[in-house]
Amino acid sequence: MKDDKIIEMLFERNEEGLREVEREYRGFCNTVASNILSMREDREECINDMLLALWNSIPPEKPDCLKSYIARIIRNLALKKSRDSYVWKRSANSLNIGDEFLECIPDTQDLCEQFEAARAGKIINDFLETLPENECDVFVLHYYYGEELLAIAEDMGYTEGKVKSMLFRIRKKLTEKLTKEGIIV
Amino acid sequence: MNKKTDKRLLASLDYIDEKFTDRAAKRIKVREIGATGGISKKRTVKYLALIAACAILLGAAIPIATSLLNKLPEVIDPSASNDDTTAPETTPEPELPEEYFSDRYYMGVDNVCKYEGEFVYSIDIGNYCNIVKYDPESNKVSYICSDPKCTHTPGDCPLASPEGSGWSMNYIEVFGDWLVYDYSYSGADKVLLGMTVNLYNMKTGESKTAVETTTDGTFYKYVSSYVVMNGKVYLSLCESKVEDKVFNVIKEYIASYDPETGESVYMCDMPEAMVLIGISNKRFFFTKGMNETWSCDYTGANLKKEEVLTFHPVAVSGTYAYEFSPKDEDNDPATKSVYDIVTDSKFVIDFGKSHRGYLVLEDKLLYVLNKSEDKNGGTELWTCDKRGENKKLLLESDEVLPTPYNCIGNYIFCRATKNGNKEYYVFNLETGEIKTIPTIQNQG
Repeated sequence: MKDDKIIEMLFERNEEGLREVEREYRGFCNTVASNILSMREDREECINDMLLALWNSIPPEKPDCLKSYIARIIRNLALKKSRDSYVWKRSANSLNIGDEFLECIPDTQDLCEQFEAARAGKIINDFLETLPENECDVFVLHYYYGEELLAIAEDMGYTEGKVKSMLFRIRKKLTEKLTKEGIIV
Repeated sequence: MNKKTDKRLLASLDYIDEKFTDRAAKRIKVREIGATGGISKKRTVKYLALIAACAILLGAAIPIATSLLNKLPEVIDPSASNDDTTAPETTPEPELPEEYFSDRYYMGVDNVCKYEGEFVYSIDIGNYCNIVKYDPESNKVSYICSDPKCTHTPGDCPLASPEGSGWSMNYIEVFGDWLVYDYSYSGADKVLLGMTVNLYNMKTGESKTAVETTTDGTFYKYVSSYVVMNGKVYLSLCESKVEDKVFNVIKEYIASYDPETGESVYMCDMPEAMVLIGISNKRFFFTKGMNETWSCDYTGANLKKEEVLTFHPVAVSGTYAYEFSPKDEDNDPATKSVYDIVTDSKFVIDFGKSHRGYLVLEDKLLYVLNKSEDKNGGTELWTCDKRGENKKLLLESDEVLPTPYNCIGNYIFCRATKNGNKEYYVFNLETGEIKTIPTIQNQG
């Protein structure tokens, strides 16, 4: 079923809309959640929470792209769950996302938490604007959605090594940008 | 990944613009996910081959491969930390605030909390109070106290206030499984006005007192205000001595209380003539009078007046602080000024016409408007997003709708006061039904 139809059903408060979402996007949700949560039970709970969040937010929200909208909800719910339980998956093969990313981002203790993190977020957004679309996607897929390098490489037709070196160059540029903006002293 | 890394990642990545995350999301391909991991079979085979090769090189193929087989993908629990390969942290990491301010001073939502799909609120029973929960699905009210032998009366129930007309409950809040609540006495026959702050664990039934109001006749120690943040209670404590019937404050200071450990830690002295209203960015925030906000750091140093944030916030959602002002800065009761932490600026929400109250929820606002100039000519319940946009009419009534206090899914908990008695209602937004919530005594 097309997304427009699903959204229309949700606007009519028709629960069949939720069942359609589940049919269409369960696998996708499981994939996104699995980048963050390793336990099936957690992922299942996350998907159920997503359905409830979708039901509560549409209407009034009317997303342009339902898949992206769902991805954001799932990612945020999964992060919340992982934060609640202090469980975070680290794939045996993948790079340690956090450690290498944090070579660019200073300790949040020094960032005055939310305020400075938001400022850093804005600078990252400005930085992403300057990147070619493929590099930007690689960065967001890996650091925002936690997609593994191999999955990104397969999707974009690159080798894993190329994705890795691409991320290295992006991080280097980002470090320069953040230093220039005074985030990194 | 350790807890520290996890938090730091979250803090900055959460602000990545939707246009980037939306575009990237379209590229994510559905994978076959195992019961305890996110790696496809194809990739698992590849990893195992790699692992085996490494293991052979190290001369320990079988035990290592077996161990990794059992561990793929690795799950790191920083709270357990023994298995963590990173160096152990020697000092505990301070918890990061998830909100800019505590919404301690919001008039409505604080009095009705949510816990596991039920509304939690205090009720008056004769001349004492207790705390109950209401399940909107089953329409049942029950005591929060889970002890089957408890009579839920003063002296027996940990959640019941002492008996007497001067006692009242000021504030309740739920965090995790803990319910924080306080009782204070404002009767004319006693001099003591401070609060006793208690905690009750709704899972285990464990009961704790953060600070008890104490006196030896001339010396008084009590809580003047408190804020709940990140699993701790931050108390503004006052120690006074009565001499010749005059209260002389000896010391006023802020201490934190951790219900899990029972530990109380002195943090700093309170600035004079101020009330603690919130915590953020490792700073305490205070209100001075009705239209000044001040802040100092955790040690009490660097006290400064906030320039943009003038009226103190009454409700907080994400990075927006909804300011308290009887009428807004421009004297228009139809608007509400909101402080945005990200830009350190304010914007104004225009409700269209004078509102009868608004409720800040996690993702939206609910507000009640009069249908016409005639205040008794019916009311409308509206919703909008947190910036006041995308307004939508939810309910219309020819009567005056009670005030919304909290919301779970399609259920909105409301309260009205008639002839001095509180009455509770629940709106079902799905069916449009408005139901009176039964009292604990008269439910079927």
